[in-house]
Amino acid sequence: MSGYYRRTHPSSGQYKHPQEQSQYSRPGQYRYPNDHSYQQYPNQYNQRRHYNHNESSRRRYSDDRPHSLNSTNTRHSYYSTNDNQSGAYVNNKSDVNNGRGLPQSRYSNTSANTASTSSNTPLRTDSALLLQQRPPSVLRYNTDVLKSKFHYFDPIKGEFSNKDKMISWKAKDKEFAETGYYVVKELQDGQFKLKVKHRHPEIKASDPRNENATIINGKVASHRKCRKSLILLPRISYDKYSLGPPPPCEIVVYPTQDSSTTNIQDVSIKNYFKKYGEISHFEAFNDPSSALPLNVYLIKYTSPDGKLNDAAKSAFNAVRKYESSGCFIMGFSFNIVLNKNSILNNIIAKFVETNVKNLQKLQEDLKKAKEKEMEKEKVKETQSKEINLPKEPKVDTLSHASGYEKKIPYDLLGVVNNRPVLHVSKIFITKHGFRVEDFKYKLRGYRCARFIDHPTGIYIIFNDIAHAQTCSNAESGKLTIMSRSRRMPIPIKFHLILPRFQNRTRFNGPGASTTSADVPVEYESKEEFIDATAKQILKDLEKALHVDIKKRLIGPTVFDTLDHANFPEVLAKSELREKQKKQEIASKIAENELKRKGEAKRDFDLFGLYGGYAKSHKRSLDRRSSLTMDRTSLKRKKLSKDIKPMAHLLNEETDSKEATPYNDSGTPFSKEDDEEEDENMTSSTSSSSEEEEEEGTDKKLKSESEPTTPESDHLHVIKSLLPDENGSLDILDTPLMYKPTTTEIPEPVYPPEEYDLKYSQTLSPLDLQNAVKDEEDMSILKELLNSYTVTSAPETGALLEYKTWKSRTQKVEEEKASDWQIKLNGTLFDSELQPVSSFKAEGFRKIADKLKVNYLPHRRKIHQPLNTVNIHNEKNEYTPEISQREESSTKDPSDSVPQEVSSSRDNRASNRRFQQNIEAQKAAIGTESELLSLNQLNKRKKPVMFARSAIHNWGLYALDSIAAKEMIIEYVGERIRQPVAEMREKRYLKNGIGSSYLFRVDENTVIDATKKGGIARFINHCCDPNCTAKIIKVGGRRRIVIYALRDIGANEELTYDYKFEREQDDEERLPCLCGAPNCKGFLN
Amino acid sequence: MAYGVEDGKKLSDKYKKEGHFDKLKRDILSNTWNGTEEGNESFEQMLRDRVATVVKEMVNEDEDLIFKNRGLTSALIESQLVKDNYSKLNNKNDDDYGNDARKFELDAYIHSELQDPKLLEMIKKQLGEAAGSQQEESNGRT
Repeated sequence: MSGYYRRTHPSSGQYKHPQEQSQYSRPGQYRYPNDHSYQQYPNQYNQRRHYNHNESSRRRYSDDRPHSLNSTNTRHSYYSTNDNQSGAYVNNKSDVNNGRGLPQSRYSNTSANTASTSSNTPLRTDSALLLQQRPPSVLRYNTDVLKSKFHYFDPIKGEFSNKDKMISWKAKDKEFAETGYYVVKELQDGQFKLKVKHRHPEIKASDPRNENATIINGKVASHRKCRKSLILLPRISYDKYSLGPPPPCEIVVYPTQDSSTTNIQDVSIKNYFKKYGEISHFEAFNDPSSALPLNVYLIKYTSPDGKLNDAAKSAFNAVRKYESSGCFIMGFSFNIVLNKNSILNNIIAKFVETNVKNLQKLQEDLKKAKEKEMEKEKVKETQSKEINLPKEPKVDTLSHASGYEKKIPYDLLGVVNNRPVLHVSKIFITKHGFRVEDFKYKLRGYRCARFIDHPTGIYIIFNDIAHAQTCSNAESGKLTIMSRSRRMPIPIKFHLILPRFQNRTRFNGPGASTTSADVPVEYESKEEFIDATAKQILKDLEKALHVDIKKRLIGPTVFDTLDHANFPEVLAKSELREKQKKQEIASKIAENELKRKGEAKRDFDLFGLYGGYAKSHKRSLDRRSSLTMDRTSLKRKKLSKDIKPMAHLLNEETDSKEATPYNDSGTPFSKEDDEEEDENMTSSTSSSSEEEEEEGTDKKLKSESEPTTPESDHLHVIKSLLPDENGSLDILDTPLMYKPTTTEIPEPVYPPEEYDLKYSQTLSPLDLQNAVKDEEDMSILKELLNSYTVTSAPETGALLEYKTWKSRTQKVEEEKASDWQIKLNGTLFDSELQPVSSFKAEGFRKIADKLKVNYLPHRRKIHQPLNTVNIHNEKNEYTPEISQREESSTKDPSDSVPQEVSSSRDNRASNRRFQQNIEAQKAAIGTESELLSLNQLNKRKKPVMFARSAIHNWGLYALDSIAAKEMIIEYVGERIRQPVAEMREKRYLKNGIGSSYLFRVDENTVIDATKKGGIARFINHCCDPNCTAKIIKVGGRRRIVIYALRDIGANEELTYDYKFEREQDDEERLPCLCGAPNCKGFLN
Repeated sequence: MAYGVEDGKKLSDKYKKEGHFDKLKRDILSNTWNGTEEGNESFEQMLRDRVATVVKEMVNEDEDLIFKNRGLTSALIESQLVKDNYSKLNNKNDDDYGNDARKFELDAYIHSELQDPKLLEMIKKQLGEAAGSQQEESNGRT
């Protein structure tokens, strides 16, 4: 209807009744569907045009009216003559107006008006009904004044109100063209200008598009792009205002091709589509005929938060995503479609149908294969009848098995038990990842007895050859299983292995055994029966007799006869032999003994003086020789037993008897002596019997007590000692230091002097003086000096004396200096640092860093705390504990065990448990109590103490050795914010606290240990540190913990790299005192 | 009346249970060694002596036998003796007591003993009795 008014609008200008117009053009008052009015209007329009056929076809309805007014028709007649419709309108209007008595109603008017355009009676009744419900409408501004001025149409009467005053402009003004004008935009001087043009209704209008178009193939070629499909309209989101059915929120997922072998789990599909929205319903469909999954899924999305559109949107998104590219889930392609109408059912029906078809096909194939088989067998039967051979299926008929005989692995022979077997090789199976289950499933239609997965492949056992062959013929090369590695069906070839032997073994079951000759025997008469039984009994008797003879007679008899008592002569013989052997051994020992004695007598047993060194070696040699002599194992054992106790016996005694320190005794021996020694050794240690042992020990004792004299008169003493043994008395009198020592290498009586070690050095007079230690030395020196002839004139008098004194004092000074150096550093100063002349004379010179190491303080006993104040409260804790411990040690030893500071896993685990316990208690108490707050880092702390440091006044030292990567101590302090830290730093500097104990944790947290803090603050910086500071999170808080970088020994100073930022200003830079070889010189 | 294998088994079991079987066995073993001068010596005793001598011989050959594990050695010797129808027992006899002209053929002896028709007759008779009693029993039951 609104369209109607829009069309009439141009006329409004002529009638000048804008208000009324606007009132009428208001939409929404008309209760008929739009299309209805549209349908109505052209109809009416056409009719009217038809009526005014003298007019141009282009003329509008609105134009008609003045025209019609002009042309002798009254308005009434116009309507009445218009057509029946108009008549109906009039009648209707009058009906309504008269019947209801609502003359002034606007609504009634409009409804009447609309009714006039419609020919539908039901509509009319509808409007009537509506009118009943509505209040009577009243025309506003229905005054005469207004009417005369503005109103041109009386809706109640349905007339133009000022119709008599209206004049056609055509009649009045002849200067205007009768056909009228139109305005056209035309290009003029490069500008678009509006132009008024005469209308020419007589000229037929033509499609302007066709004017410029070129004609190709008799068709108008358009410049427009050819559109192959409909343009997608923008999706209008579905909301509560939307009309019509809700958009589909379900999608159907189905495989692109029929792949019944896909074994995708439903869950994976569901999860896959979960990303598009919340799934309210998921359904997987099965084939109703086989109950196998069709891989068709229905997914319904839902709108979770009451947003109606979400469900449809997610479904739409899911579909659109895979529209072009296709959906691949786990390697299988799927199609996704919105579930409209009955798409789902169609898809399912399609799949079911294809499945049924496939099944039919398979069955047909099977049938064919069976028929073929039957035919073949028939042929064979006829053949076998002719040749008169036992019916036996031939392997050659199978194409794949010709000339190829597979063997069943030995371990399967029992299981297979001469049954036909289909075999698939392992290589093939592993390559495609097949499983036994696949075959089980695929071959479920056959009568397979068993499926065996074997290292050599899969074996499918059949009970019957015929079954095996039908299966093999039908499926080999045709059966496809989805390869797990290639994702495509792979045809599988089976190798049929036929049974080797006609008879199966006994464990095949009763079927096989019955065929054998074991037929139940029936006895006809009683005699026969008894006869047979008697025979059986005789057989049994024979068996029993043999068993009896064996077990009861022979066995025990043999055992009894083997008794030692039965063979006295043998035993006697063996005993005799034993005795002989023993005698032999004894004689041998005696022989050795004699030999040794002789040797001992021949020579002085020097060796006896020196404990048992190298004895073991000699003894082993000796043993070997003895072993070669007597071979029996018994002997051997005895010998070794005999030898064993000797060694330690000797050692012990020498140790106990000779309490003198090693360095006090012994003088170097000559080569001769050594040789003698060796000989003595052999004789003295080759003892192998008990008597011998005793003797040996005696001898040892003697030799130990046997004296030796100083080197000078060694030979003489030996000579004097050799014949008689009472010389030992003399030797006992010699002073301790000259007594023999039990060292491997003979040692001099006096420890070596410095000049002994450095041969190149010239002897100073002092050394010479010191070198002469006893009278012996003096005498030798005198001898030497006597032989020395003076070649140059000796300096005499006071000068010589002075020089000697000078050199002597110098020497003493130097020694003192080096002693100090060693005391200080543990080593001597580098030679470059030794003053050549006075320091003043040398002047200024640069000393290399390497040399500085020599005298910088850190080198001074860096591993030991300087003995200043090294007692910290920790230490104080220890001392009372110790005293307490001492007190309580008598009462309770278990308490006295000091708490072990170990870092083992167990310890940490127990700590953790302890902490959990504490936490639980805390929870039980409920309140935040500081009492129970536990610092778990404390448990892992290592024993450390602080003391004066070589690096910078205080330092932290490890009390125990610490392994690398162990936690040592936490850097405890006040946790302050960055601005506070800056402020404090300034204040500390102002107050003269030079040392910085501020440690930055992160950008805006600093730990300040200056006033309140742990001893970790004493750890010094070092450019070559042995610790490192790490920031770890404990219970959500960042804390600084010092870890060992490398293994740290006890009493070693702990250091870490402070990692200060580099300072540009030279004055601000802090010099580093660490003294490490790689020291950078500055902290920052 | 037909008799099946089961009946035979039953009968033989019954026979054994009645003690005839053991008695037979004992008789055979304790029978005097027929055809010898020392008639009073039973077969069993003979066998024992024989085994003892053989074992002694073996020990004489290798003295170590008695110093080794007695149980193990006896088992080994026993198996050696039983081997090949007691050939060792038989042959040794010949070698050592060649002039004795007395053959200790254990296997043959047992065989001959069992072949004795008297024995068969006796068994049959006993079996018949046993069968009769069995039938009676079964009849009585039914």
